[in-house]
Amino acid sequence: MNYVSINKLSSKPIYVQLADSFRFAIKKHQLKQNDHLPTEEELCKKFEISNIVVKQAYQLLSEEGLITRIQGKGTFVRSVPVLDVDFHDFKDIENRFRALGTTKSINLIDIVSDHDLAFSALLLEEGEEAYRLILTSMYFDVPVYSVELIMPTQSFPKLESVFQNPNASVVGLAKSFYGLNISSSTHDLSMENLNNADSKQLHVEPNDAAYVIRSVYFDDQKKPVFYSNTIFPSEYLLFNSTVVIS
Amino acid sequence: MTDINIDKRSKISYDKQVQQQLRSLIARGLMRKGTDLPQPELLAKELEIETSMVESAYRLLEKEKRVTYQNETWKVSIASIPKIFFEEFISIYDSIIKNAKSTPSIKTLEIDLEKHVKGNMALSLGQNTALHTKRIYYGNEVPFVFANIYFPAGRFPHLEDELKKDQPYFKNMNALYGVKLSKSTRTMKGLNLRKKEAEYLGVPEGTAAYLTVVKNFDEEGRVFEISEVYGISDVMHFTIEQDE
Repeated sequence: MNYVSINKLSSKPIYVQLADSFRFAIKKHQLKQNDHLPTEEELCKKFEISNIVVKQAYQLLSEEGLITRIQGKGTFVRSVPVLDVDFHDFKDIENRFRALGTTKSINLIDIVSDHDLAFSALLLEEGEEAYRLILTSMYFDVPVYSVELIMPTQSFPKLESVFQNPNASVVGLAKSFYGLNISSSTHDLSMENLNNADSKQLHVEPNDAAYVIRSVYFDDQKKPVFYSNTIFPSEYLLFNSTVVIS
Repeated sequence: MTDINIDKRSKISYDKQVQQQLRSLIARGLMRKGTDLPQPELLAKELEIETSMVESAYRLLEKEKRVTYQNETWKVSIASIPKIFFEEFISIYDSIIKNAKSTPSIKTLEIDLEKHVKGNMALSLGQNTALHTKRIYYGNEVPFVFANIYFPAGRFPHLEDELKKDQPYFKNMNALYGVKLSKSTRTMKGLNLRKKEAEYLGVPEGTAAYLTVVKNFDEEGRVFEISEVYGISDVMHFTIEQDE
């Protein structure tokens, strides 16, 4: 508990000081994922503070997604921190997860000749073929999001041998291996209940809420080149935005 | 009849052209939820294309859950408050008018003058009691969002009388209390709706929804209002375009 410091003479409320100490210890990895936090009694006794103060501090941290409290078991550092992303930086989400230390792996590569939304977005006719890749991004042993890529075979021949590194950017791959310049993209965000297959892949309950981002990437002629469908279980991600009134 | 144009020299098939243009009209709020789509025969005749092409376009939009087929009529099933809600300061009420092109109305469910609050709510409001109200905002009588709204208790005397009017109160905050908005922050996360909120929004319990917490700051940098706004994807749908 030596990471907790409290100054009773400070004007800063004690519960805020307590929350600050834990937050700092988590950031500095003095407290690691799934670590057990002291009980309310332990903290009250050691620092001679009331349990209301401890409750308030733990509530703050829990609202911030840093800790989780399990009835009868105690308080733990969450296994996956919640990622807070600027609403306008959809593109930043994957980079931000990567900065946390997530890594992607390929679950599946196959060829499909129909796919509801992707085929329509890519202006492909039913019967034309496209590679379908499913990637999962892991934070240690927890899957935090999945990506389904639909890439037409005509534009991406032999993709199965080219697509070696699931952590490299697909836009980069399109340019370096296929000479395709991706110059713009559209991203459609919705909130959906997960189906059984997706929830199983992401280790969450069926029907859980998830952000679904359907993206279409275009070349400089505004022709759609490839499509991706990224699913983020809602518990790992939140968006923020600030509007300043001038 | 419509703003749809077919480019017969384009490589894009006619059904895709119709689909894309309808999708855009719906996304921009120019075709409201509940609006009937033209009968396929009539639209086909107007555009001088096969009826099957229009039917195919409608079916593609149905797959995208943008339209539904009921009682032998195709209807728009999405009305949305797009990302402008996040980018500019716009109230929910105004957003329903401007973005969803719907007629707004409000139902105030309850008002508690001294609700006990804790955690971040108490920290942000700077006190443990709040004036709390629950409101449902409708567009064309369809529930759009449900909001829990909190003000620091005691700061705005008789605000409850304003709230009871089932009208937007925001524009009156300056006139009545001299409060001027300087900044607004929004945090959005996903969740499964609990029974009560689902009931308010007229959807099954557990439906995936956005919860947006809006904090409004006055010119002194104090939070004077916090709203927890619940909305489902049908009405809060965001599209972002960006350069790579």
